[in-house]
Amino acid sequence: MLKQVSEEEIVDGCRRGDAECFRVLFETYKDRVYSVALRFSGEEALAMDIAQDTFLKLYSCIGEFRGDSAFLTWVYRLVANRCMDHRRRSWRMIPMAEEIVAVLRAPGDALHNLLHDEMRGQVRGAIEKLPAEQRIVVVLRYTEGLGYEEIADVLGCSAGTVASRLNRAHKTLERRLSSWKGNRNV
Amino acid sequence: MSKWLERELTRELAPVRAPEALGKRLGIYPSPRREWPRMMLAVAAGLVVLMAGGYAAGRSNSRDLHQAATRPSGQCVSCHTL
Repeated sequence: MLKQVSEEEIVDGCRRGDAECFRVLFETYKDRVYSVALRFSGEEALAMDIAQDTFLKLYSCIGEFRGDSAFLTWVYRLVANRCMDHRRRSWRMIPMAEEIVAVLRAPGDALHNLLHDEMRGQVRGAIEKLPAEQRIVVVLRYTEGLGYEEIADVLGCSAGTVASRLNRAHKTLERRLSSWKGNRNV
Repeated sequence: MSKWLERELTRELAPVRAPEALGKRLGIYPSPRREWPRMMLAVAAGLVVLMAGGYAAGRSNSRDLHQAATRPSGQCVSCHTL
C-alpha cells in the first residue's frame, strides 16, 4: 500500500491527468483488483472485464475521492461494485461435458488427479453458487484478509451485517461440501 | 466454522497476480509493434511492379487496336493510297 504522503501525491497527479501517476496506481493495485474479480467471478475472461472496468472507473472518478476513507478501501469499494454489476453467470454445459469425457478416458493416476481436481472444483463451485452479497464478503475475507470492520467500510454496511453474511455463507458451504470432507485426502 | 473449511477457503481463494494483458488492455503497457518481414515487403513490391507493367502493356496494345479500327478499310498502311 502507498504511504500517506506519496498516496496524496499520486492521487493529485492522477487528478491532473499525469500518465506516470496512473501507471504507479495501476502497478500498486492491479493484483488486488484482479484477485477479487477472479475469486468472485470464477472466470478469467470475466475477471479481466471487471478489473478493466474498475480501473476505468477509478481513473474517471478519482476526483470524487475525498479522503474520508483509506484509498485502498475506496479501491475495494469500486471493485466490489463492479463485481455486483457483473454477477450474471455464463452457462457451463460445454466445460462440464469436457470434464466428463476426460474422466471416462483417464486411466490410473490420471483418474486419481482428476478426482482431486474435481474435489477442488466442488469447493470453487460451492463458492460461486453463494448469493452475490455473501460471496463478496467471503472473497474480501479470504482473498484479501480484511476484518469485519474493513469489509463493512467497503460494502457500506454494518460489521454485524458482515458477520451475519459470513456466518450464513460458512453454514451453506459446510452443508454443500460435507460429502467431500471425508474425501479431501484423496 | 470447521478448520477444514477455513483451510479450503484460504487455499481456493488465495490471491493471484494480474496478467500482463490487463495492462495492455488499459494502455498502461505498450503493445509490441507488428513488424512486417522484409522478404514479404520485397515480394509485395515485386508484385506491384509486375501488375503495373502488365496494365501499362495492356493499355498500349488496346490503343493500337483502337487506331487500327478507326483507319478506313482498304487503305494502304504504307502509301495511304487506295
